[in-house]
Amino acid sequence: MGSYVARRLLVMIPTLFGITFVTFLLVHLAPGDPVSAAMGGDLRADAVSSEAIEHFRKEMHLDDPLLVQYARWLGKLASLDLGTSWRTGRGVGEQIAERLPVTVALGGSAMVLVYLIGIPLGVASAVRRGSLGDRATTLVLFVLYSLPSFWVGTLAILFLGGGRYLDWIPVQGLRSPGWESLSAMGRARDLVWHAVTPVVMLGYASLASVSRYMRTGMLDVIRQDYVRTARAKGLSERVVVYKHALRNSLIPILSHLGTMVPFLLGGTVIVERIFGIPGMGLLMFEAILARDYSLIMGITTATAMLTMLALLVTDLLYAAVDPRISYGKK
Amino acid sequence: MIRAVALALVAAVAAGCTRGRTDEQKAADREAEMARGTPTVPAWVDGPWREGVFPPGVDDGEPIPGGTVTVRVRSEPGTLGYLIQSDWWLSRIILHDVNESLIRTDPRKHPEYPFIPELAERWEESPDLLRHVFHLRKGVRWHDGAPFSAKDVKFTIERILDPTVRAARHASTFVDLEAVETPDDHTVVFRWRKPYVWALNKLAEIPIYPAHAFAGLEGAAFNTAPFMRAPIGTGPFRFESWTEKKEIVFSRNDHYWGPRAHVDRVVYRIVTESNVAQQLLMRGEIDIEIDLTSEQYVQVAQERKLFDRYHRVRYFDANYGFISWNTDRPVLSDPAVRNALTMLFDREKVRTTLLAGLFRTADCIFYVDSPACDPEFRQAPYDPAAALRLLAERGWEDHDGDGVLDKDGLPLRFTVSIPSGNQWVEQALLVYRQALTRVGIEMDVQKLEWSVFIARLRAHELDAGVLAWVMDIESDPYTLWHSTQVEGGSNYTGYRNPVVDGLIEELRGEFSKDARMEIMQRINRIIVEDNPQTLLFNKPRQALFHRRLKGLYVSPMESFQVRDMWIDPAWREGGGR
Repeated sequence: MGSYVARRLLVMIPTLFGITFVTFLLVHLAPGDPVSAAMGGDLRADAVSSEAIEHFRKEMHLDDPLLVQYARWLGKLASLDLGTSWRTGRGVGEQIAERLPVTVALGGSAMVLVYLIGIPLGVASAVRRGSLGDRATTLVLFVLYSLPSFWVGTLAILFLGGGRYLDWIPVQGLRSPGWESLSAMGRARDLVWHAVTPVVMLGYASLASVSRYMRTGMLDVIRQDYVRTARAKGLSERVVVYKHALRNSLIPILSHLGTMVPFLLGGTVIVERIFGIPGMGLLMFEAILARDYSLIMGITTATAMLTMLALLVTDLLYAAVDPRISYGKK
Repeated sequence: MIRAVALALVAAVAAGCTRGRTDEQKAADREAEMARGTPTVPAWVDGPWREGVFPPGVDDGEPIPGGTVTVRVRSEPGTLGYLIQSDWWLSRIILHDVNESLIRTDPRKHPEYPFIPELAERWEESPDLLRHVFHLRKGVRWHDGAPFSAKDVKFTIERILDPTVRAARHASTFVDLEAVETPDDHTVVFRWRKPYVWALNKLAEIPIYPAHAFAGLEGAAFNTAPFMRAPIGTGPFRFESWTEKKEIVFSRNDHYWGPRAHVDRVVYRIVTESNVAQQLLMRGEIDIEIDLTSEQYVQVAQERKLFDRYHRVRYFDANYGFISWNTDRPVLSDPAVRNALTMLFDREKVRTTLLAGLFRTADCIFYVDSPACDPEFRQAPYDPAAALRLLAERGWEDHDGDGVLDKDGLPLRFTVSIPSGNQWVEQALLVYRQALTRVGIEMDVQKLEWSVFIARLRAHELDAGVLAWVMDIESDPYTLWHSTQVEGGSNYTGYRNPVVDGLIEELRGEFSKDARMEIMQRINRIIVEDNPQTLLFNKPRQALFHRRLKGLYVSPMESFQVRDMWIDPAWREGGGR
């Protein structure tokens, strides 16, 4: 077990090289550059002279060969220096450290919520396959899956965010304007209240896939002999399904879990933008628009590492769920 | 499938109708279409709300101190260092309110906009403009308590001249600067090798930075100094806090050298999405919103709740939008072709239908309400027949019968690029394309991400691009129009005209403002008649200001002034007006 984990961790290093190198090439070869991005949305007539552009490019070493630039970036990474964002003048590591918890908390909550609802839904659909309930659930989930979150989010803000209609949800950020003056309890409540809508927006579309995975997994298992045996023993349906069948049907769900991590880290950009939440998705989006190379690279590195760790954890969980899988001995 | 067929049918019928129409019918249709674009306004609105002006009396009364003003900011600046970053919102937030300049342009005195003292108490200009002497105000302190002196001014100018500092935009002002001298702590002398007529205009836009805040941070380290995120100034507001993606907060500087501001705090609230901003307006959480879209500006007029709470205001600052033609492209190199392309753009129709009549059609490459623009002079109006005649005169006809005009085997075909995310421009180009197709000109539209768009425009790789310039009240046309600025400058059209070059150089040496205005009118006339750009529109600021605010006015300089505002504590929703 220990040697397996060590081997997996070692394999991560070349993988990380590969990912960062490809990303580095992509962002540097893509059209547009930081100088143009720096000229901003409201173009000033006397914006930038060629001399200034030259200095800017020199400051950012943009005219060196790409491999030299990449080597320089790697060298800094080796000393755990992710560089400085040209746009904000702040350290990349500092910015990621500030944004990552927000995204992880929101995405994590969304994921927990999706699994808490999705797994029982999937099980119920599988057990009563073809019933009216199964079909209705499928339909509703399919509809939810098809509704884009930017649209649902905008509608939620419009109809539930006060103003002309209902005043149920806050529409901006994660904190109320007077947050500093609240008690600890008040702050916690305020935070939860602000987080509810974004979490729902992040999660609702994934309900369909989770419950479908669960349903398929369950259907495979429930037809097997040992389940029939369990029923024949006279066990209650509840025990049969939740004790004997569920554990074996969780494997497809687990593989799905591993793939959710990059989505949760990067796929939150729309919800973050609509609700003005300072998370990783928005940070990456703005970094790309600004061609903020060191920030893009920093986020890629962080996301790649987290994803690889998540895949490792998923593989380890297989062993925990399925006794047939073991990493200990050959 | 059924829908597709239905759409195809509708299209066919519509096409059939178009073909059989006479010119009078077309004109009538155009009128009707324009009338549809005119918004209807409910009966309860008053004159000022409908016209988009402040009602009388918002600017008088005895100021009462206290309270917080919340301003919506559409895009969060990267830093608060205006010296190293050019960004409209950043200048609005910082310049003169936090970091002051030697002098300032009085935003209230239209149309002269004279200079008024700021950190300099008074100044002298030698008659040959080769020497400026600024006598600095005594007893001014930075927000951290340190005294302000001539050293800070010299430090700021030296930083601008340091090539590693990202202040290139300001550096061009000082190309002909010989020296900055500080004979004593309260005097600064600028000596110039050549007079620069806009020296004062430029100095009024340069924030003076405290030398002591940058100890040990020279060269490129200046660009990332902590100061850039937490500025220390001398202005009426001091920096308080910045929470990313949420708000930037300033509080009143109670030790300000001049008349103190009235409000206690200013909160610049960062709200990127305009839908969300509108919701916050409906909830009354924002006092000032100056970035309403045209659609919103029309829509909010119908909201009783917003009418009760806000003034609805529309005003113009110095900007104009245009199609920039690449004059180096063979098909676009002939001014007559560009004239014809201009006459095929129905600006009035786009203005009244797509823009709800809120924009102004632009006829001048300078600030629209300045004397540099001759109000009598107009760009060639929409006239497809005249455009066709002009093209035929120059030999553009459909010789090969493929439906596209050509000359010497060259088809009249080009691509217009636009930065993505600009909906009305996209729609306007659809209208334009129809007009062009009808006469046999083929135009493609290509959407590009902003940084790609600018990079390719700068490299003269695009046939044409739609963009807008934000300018000064009196701006130097050199970087935009001089032929030396085609490579490296902002002359993206590639326009080269020795007459214009001469006038631009003459302008730079002309000390009399009236004479300059005269020259600028001539420059404008020549350029607009040659159409390296097809001028489109002047875009207004479309704004809502809370009715509890007093001391309000708007100006093309700096838009609005928080320092002159106060909050009327007696104002009540519904009954307080």
